[in-house]
Amino acid sequence: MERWREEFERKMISAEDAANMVKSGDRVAFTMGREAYAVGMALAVRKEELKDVKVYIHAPGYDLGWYDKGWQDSFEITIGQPTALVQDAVYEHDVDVLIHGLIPAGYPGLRGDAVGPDVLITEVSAPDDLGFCSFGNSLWDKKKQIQKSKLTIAEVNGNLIRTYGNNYIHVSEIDYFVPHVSTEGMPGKRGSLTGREFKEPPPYVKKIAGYVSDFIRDGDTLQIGVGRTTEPLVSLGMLDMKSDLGWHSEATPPGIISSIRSGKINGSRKTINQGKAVVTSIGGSSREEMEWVDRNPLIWLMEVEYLEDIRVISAHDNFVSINSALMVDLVGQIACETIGRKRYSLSGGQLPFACGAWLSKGGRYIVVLSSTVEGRNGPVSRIVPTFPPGTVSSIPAVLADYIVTEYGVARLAEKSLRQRADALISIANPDFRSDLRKAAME
Amino acid sequence: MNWREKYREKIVSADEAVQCVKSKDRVIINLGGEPRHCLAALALRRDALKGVRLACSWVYDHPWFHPGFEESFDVRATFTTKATRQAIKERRVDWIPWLPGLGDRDRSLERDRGGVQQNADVAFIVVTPPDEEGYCSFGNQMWNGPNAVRSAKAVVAEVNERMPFTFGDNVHVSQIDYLVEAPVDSTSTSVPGTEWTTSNVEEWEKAQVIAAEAADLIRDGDTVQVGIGVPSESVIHYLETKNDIGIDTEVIYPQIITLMKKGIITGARKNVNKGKVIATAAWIVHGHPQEKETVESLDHNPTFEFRDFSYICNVPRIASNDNMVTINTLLGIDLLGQATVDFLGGFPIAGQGGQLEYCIGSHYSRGGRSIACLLSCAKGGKASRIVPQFEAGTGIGVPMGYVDYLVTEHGSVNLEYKTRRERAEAIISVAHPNFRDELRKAARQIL
Repeated sequence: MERWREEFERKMISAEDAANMVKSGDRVAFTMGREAYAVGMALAVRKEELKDVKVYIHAPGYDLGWYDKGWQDSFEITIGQPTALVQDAVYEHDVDVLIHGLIPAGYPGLRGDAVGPDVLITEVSAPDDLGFCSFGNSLWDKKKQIQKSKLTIAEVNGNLIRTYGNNYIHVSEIDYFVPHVSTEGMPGKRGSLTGREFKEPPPYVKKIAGYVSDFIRDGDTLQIGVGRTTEPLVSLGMLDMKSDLGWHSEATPPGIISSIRSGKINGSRKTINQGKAVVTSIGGSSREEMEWVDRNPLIWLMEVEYLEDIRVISAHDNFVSINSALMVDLVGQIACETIGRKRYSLSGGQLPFACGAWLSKGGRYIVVLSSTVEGRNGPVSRIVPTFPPGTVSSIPAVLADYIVTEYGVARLAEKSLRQRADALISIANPDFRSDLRKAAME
Repeated sequence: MNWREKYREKIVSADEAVQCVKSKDRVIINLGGEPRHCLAALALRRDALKGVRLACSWVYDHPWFHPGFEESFDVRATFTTKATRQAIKERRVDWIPWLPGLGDRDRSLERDRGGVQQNADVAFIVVTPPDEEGYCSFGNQMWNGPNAVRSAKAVVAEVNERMPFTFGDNVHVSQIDYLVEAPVDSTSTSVPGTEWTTSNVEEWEKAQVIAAEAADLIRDGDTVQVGIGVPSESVIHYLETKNDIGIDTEVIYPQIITLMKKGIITGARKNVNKGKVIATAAWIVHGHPQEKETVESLDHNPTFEFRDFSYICNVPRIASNDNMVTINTLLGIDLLGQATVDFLGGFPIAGQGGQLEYCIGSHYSRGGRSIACLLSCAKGGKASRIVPQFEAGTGIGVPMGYVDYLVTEHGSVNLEYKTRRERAEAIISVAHPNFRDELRKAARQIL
């Protein structure tokens, strides 16, 4: 038997044995993407015997119990992305949030001499004939995390796809393997192998898709961020009648994989990674699409460190970055993480993509948002004179380029304070414009 | 025709030169060192001109900051300075938030874009007299000069004999349309610079404590950017025990020249521009004991390479030096680590400069670090510059996550890869002791 096979068998243990390796006071990290459910469950079960275990989960997808009150003595949870599952816990001070710079690295970070976690828990495919496993449809910073951690436990999920790019790890680099337990039918399930379910987009998005479409030219390389407003844009016809597009983005919103299949996105005019669609995670909208992605040489899964390097982004000519925001103030500061203290999201790669688009020859940075949001006492404008206190200002005003709502487009690049305010007021909801104008005068 | 003949043909008086400005023109003026004779002549054309847009950072006072010029001149400021602060408040001058390092000529030439750095009808610059080959230098204040020359339809250059001739980006006489020789005996023909003032002694002393602390974070072989502000500028004084320091920065301070002469600043371990000191301007401090020495050291010195502001602040270029350390002075920081550098409570009080680009660039540099210096208190100790949350309308210059080290006179802390609560604790630990309890209480509520 080949050496790696012996090694693989020797390293295979039960989820309970794996969870038993965690000691009180340890720092445990789940890699980005789906958290390994079997080990997570086995660890949560040890609530009574463990104390002060610090757990980092980037974007919690499953409710393992520990976001509730009464668990904090055993498990101190830190997250990166405040998913709907944990937003309340964050607000209630029960869950802390990791702050990091450009690279959305998992705990405790990619840069420099940062110390890795004591135990890292991840998910991989079954090994291939050479002993290489894949990370399925999501790579992010997993390889770097494995290098940094003292002990790595990987749940082996035979359903994971394989892709080209850097999406592989050898059996010898992982300490223990645990058989996967199916999470089919689990509540709170996210990022499944068959992609996210399609939600009916709110009506304003169709208009935004039309406006943004005017800015997209044949041959552009696109990045589209995650969010309620950005994700439906492609399905709503933003890319109709375009051709020779390129793709360099964290993920694939609905409509992207089919555009790659149809050749609309072919990367033929990319000035780097020509012909490839480059992502760090990929989600289709059906099982069939994911089967098409499996071992497809058109698609490269690259590490997030590479994907979000401003040098790589700006090496593309005509790089168009399309992202969503929660609020924009009249100076052009962009908030995409919190409104006041309430945390909704993470800016993710928005800042490097914004900078990269600015530096790209012919590049454009487009922020989309609805003009209003439903508040406690009726609609509230998302274009505001100043942010409510506690709001995180994610993108500095100097980077604001195009802001788009269902009422049109504001071009802010290199405009003066007064011109910026005028442009933003013109795309605010008409009901709020006179109030905004009054506030701007002050 | 050789360049000498061309030069003679192009010489005009300031009054003649400014005739090229027409109503509605976009005029761009060299940041840092304004051609004062030309601008004085331009102001005299008030009644003949309508809606001329002027963009500059404005170091000196000009008539158009005062009432009565609004219809003729639409004045924009890329920084707020002592000269423009009042006029901005009273809406005679409009402030433009811009990032020097992210301006791309190809983008700016698109319709409705540009206006600050490029796409101008007329550019006013200040240059030295030409060398043997007909090249003029931008002296000690280059900033956006080269880009302005490349993109403007007409270029007016005021020739200032007193400026040092520097290397890097130069401008050839053939690229200039009108040359105005500034009168040598006039006081407004000094080398562009600032007046020497002895600052508040108590604050100066605190700045020294911060500078010494920050200098401890710098290692042999680091390439350093030093932002404007007493604490960050003072860091240079405390690098005397280091070796092979490289300089890649916006502004050269006199202390940098001292350390070059001592052999401490060598740039020997830089990955790019090895051995060179890279900057876009040099501070000449009038009345400073080192004034003359600074000018002499800059003149025809090939160690210095002056480049356009957009090249200096180019993020990929900054990142290409390993161990790139940025040292900047903040105005304030909140408990999340969001930093304000230019905009407090709805009013711009400085300019962004290259701080954001350098912070981002150092983030991508192997071994890079960004260090933020902060006096813990303002208003003579009555207010903490470390606040739970900024008041409404404060501009965030550096988003949270891009300040790696925070240094105050109470110590230094590393904020990298800390959670919100860990960050808040670290930041509070270097706040003034009088404010720590208050801050802790606020932290418990908001984090």
